[in-house]
Parts: sequence; C-alpha cells; structure tokens
Amino acid sequence: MADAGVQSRRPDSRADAERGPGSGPRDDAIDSGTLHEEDIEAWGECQIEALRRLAVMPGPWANAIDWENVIEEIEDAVPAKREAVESLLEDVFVHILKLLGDPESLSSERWRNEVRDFMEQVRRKAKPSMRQRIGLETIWQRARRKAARDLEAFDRRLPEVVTRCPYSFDEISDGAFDPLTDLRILLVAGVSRP
Amino acid sequence: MTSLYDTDVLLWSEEQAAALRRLAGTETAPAADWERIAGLIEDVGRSARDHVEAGLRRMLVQAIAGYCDSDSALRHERIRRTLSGQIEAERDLGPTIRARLDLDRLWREAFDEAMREIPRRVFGVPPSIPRTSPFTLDELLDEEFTYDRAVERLYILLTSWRPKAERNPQT
Repeated sequence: MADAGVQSRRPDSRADAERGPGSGPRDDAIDSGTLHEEDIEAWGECQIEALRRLAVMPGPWANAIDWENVIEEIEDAVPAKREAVESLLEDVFVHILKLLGDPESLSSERWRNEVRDFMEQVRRKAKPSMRQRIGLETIWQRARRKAARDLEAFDRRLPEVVTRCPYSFDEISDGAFDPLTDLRILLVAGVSRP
Repeated sequence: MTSLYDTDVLLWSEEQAAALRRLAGTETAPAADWERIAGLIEDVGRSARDHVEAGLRRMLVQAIAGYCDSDSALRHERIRRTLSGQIEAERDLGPTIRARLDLDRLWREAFDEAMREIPRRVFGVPPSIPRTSPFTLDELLDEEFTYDRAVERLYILLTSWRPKAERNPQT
C-alpha cells in the first residue's frame, strides 16, 4: 500500500469544516438518492470521483480504509448491477423458451413461477439509464442457444423461434408486462405484431 | 503486499464497510453517498460467500441426483457441473467464509434441488436422507473429489447410514 497517506496524516483535520453546513450528509443523501434511482452510472461516477479525492486527502480515514480496493469494487459494482438485470432477463428468456419447447414438463410450473419472480426483480433493479446499455439482442441469442441445449438433454426440441428479441426495454420495465401471457409471439409462424 | 482483500474477502468487506460508516459519521466527513458505498462494499463479501455456497450446493446436487439416477444421459453434464461448482467454491473461499459455512444446510438445500431436477421416471430416491452432509468441506474441495466417486460414496453411505461420529475417518 502507498506510503503517501502515512506521511500526510494529521491527527485532527480542520480543513473540511470550512465547507460549512450546506454540504451536510443529509442533503447529499437526498441528491444522491435521486441520482442513484435515475442514473446509476452517473451516480457511480460521482461516488468514484469523491472516493478518489478522499483517498489522497489527509485525514483520520487515510489509513483506516483500503482505498485502492474499495474504489475498484465501486467501479465494478455499477456495471455489475446492469449485469444482474441482464442475467435475470436471460433466465426469463430461457424459461419461456423452454415452456414453449416442453410445455408438459414437470418443471413447467416452477419455470412459470420463476419467470414471475425474475420479472419482479428485473422491474426493481432496472434503471432508465440502462436502456442504452442493455443488449437485449445478445441476451436473446444466448437464451435461445441455452434453451435449445437444455431441452435437448431431455429429448425435446426448441421450435423455430424469432431470431430478434421480441421485447423492448420499455416493454420489459413496464409493471404490467407479463411474458407468459402469449408465448406464441415467440414463434416464427406466430408473429402477428407490427 | 498481500491484503486482507485477497486472503479473506468477507472479513475485508465487513471491516471496510464498518470503517466507511464510521467515516460517514464523523463531523468532517466529505460529501459522498456513504451508506450506499458501504452497502456495496458489504455486498462484495456477501456475494463471495454466496458464490462459495452456490458452488458447493451445485456439487452436492450432482452427487444426489447421480445417486438417484445413475444411468442418466446427464452424466457428462453432471461431471461438468461438479467441476465448475468446485472451481467456484474454491475461488472465493477465505477463512471467515469457511468458519461460517453451514454444510448441513447446503446439503438439505441440495437435496431439495436435486429432487426437483431428476426426471419423473426415477424411483431411486433415498427413503431417509441424512440431515447432515456426508461429505466434509475438505473432501469436497479435494482435487481427488469427482462426480463418480461422490456417487459411489453415497451408495455406500446411504445404504448403511450412520451418524458422522460413528464412522471411521477415511484418512
């Protein structure tokens, strides 16, 4: 670990007191909370900037915190939140494709329940700022391959399904969206939507 | 320099999260979303623990499912899953996770999961599943541990099940 923090450490830092009451933690919490909800990627950038500044600032925290690893983890955490949504969506897609290929499966009830459960989590975790970053097409392709492979293990075949993801991000984030309502739209022959 | 981050990530994350919260509580704390940052750091340790548990559970599921359904066409897939479970469990295992692991709970969860997974034609479900794991953590992480050996062990153990304490140590 760097020695810089040790050299510049002071027992009592007054420098920050000059910032005054306006920058109190409560106001920041409200602002950060809104930003966290609306644009998690921007929130992440703000926090990382603050942590980087703090890491080189003298103060009682200089040695109390493993800045290098903490910053790295926060840097990874924001994309990880998006990846969690992507992974849930992949599971949803795999399940609905398997329901299509093997509707009589003993697992079909569990798949349906999990689709509802995963969609609930997607709605909770998906943020508007993820719209541009989530690759629905890639997720759909992966899900098709995985569903076909899983079905094959039980001697079932995935029917011919649409090659492009039939859902949009807005549709998915909509509270009323339920992919189980009509599985036929996944079939090449069943495309009836504009 | 090796940090606690590399050797014991659960302990690291708990200590760092506590330090960040202490820092947030000081009067001179600079502006940042401390509670969320601390929460994310805590998640690092939790997710490591979850990975270890998921890996071990996956290994146990394969052994139980293989015991109930030994002729299955899924043998190759189960070998693969056992290996991937072992790799996942080893990767994040540190002293604190190890100390807090409840292998018997994982064993019971694995049994439930295996029962959901095996095909309906299978009738070889053990009538009285032991409530404690017949495998120790060290056995599961041993490089000699394989899917086939695990299934074989279950055959021997479950046909003449005795509590752990009465068994002779294998080594």
